Amino acid sequence: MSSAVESRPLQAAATAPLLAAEPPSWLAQVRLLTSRVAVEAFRNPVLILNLLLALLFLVVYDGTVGGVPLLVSFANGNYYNFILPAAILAASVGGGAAGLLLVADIRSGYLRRQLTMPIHRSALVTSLMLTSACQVVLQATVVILFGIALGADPATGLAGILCVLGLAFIWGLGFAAYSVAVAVITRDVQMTSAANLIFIPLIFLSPLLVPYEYLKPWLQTAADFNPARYVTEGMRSLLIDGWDGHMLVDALAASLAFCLVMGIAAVTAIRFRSLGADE
Amino acid sequence: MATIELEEISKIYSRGVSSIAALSGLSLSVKAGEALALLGANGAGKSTAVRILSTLSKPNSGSARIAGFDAVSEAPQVRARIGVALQETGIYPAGRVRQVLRHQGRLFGLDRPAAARRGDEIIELAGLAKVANQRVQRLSGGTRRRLDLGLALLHRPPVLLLDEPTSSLDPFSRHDFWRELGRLRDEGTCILFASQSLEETEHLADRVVLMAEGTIWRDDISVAAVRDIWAGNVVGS
Repeated sequence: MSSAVESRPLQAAATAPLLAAEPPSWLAQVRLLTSRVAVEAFRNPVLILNLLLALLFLVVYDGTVGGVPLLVSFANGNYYNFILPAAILAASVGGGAAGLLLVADIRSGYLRRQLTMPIHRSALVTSLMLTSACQVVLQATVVILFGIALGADPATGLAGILCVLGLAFIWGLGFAAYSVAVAVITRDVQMTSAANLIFIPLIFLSPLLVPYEYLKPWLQTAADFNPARYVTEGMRSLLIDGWDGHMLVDALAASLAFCLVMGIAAVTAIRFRSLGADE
Repeated sequence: MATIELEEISKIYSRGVSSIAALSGLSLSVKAGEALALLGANGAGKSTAVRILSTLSKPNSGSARIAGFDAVSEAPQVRARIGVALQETGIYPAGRVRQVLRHQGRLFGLDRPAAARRGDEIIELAGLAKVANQRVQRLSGGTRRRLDLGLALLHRPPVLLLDEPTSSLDPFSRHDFWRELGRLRDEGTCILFASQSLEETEHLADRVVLMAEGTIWRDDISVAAVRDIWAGNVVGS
């Protein structure tokens, strides 16, 4: 492109001051930022790979332990109902896309530009979390549909499935925040990806494959402190037993607490980075 | 009242047990309608000063104010009033030029039609019409730089903070931007820029400050004098 060709009297571009009186509200910022991030996230083929991974988990779990009579008995005769939460939580690793999107913004210098603009740090984090949580819900939806096609029959029907997706959304928000915090601290694609994968064994420190009562004592203790336990059991109760208010409240409280702690960690990390840590 | 005020700013970078003083008691002020050039050798502290004013970095001591707002405690107010273009461009690569400009306009509070209109003005201004629908990742370094400078001007900030603003531009674009920046300065915009280019400084600056070792070595020095000093390698060492 020749700028000589396009060079023209620049005064034409000058008019009265256009500075907006106020920056947009926090909600408007989140909406604008999310619209940008979502386009990038959903164009990324990693989304498909994460989904395939989750579907593979589902098939492999069923193929390896789905024939064990004891386990099938926990699931009222249908092991897919029992194992669907495991596949959904495995799919939630897709929420780690938030951190990778942030690393891309750090590398392109766009985060630095955003940090010089009147944008709330929490709006930046929230937009990444929302996008990734929506990704997790999309993946969970496909996993559930796949599970139903294979024979799962959720006890609470469509309403229960929507509750499961709601829990997946909140869990996805928390995982996305965790990934953002790691990305801000490490600013490295490989470290952020690795941190996302580390999350998988942590999820398994819970009654993901067998009921809580059958875990070894040390694993039971670990599971007690692992929010994944309560989310798994909440989802499982919806899919196998029907409506259980106690289980649902525990699942909701655990996923919200996880989301809150990770969200605070992410906002703190990004605040620290913007004032002094990026030098 | 000065639009930009730095008072006794010190900044120390720590790396393990070692630390480097990037700024040591830097004080300066720039008025509305004035363009100040910070010149100096690499490591003199020019970019650090720009980063502190841009709210990207926090001083260890001293105060930095823009339009009366403190760059640390009132950073949001400062950010609404500054246009920033740093040494490295900061644009998301997957976006298209027009889309990137409109998106930034919206983030500064312009409504949709105003953001579209202003985006188109910047496309004209920066000579980006032919690439307006291209993705940023496909642009050449110089074109990307023009877009970056356009983004800094988009919301008509009363203060422009630029670091090596036109270093990677071709001569035509460079002159276009110098002319535009000069016009903005004449309309009252306060400009502070760090530079290594005496040509750029000659075209843009009303006042030249020569920095060394994190502080002002010579204030209100002529470009000719800087050229003489640099030729004698006085500061570079």
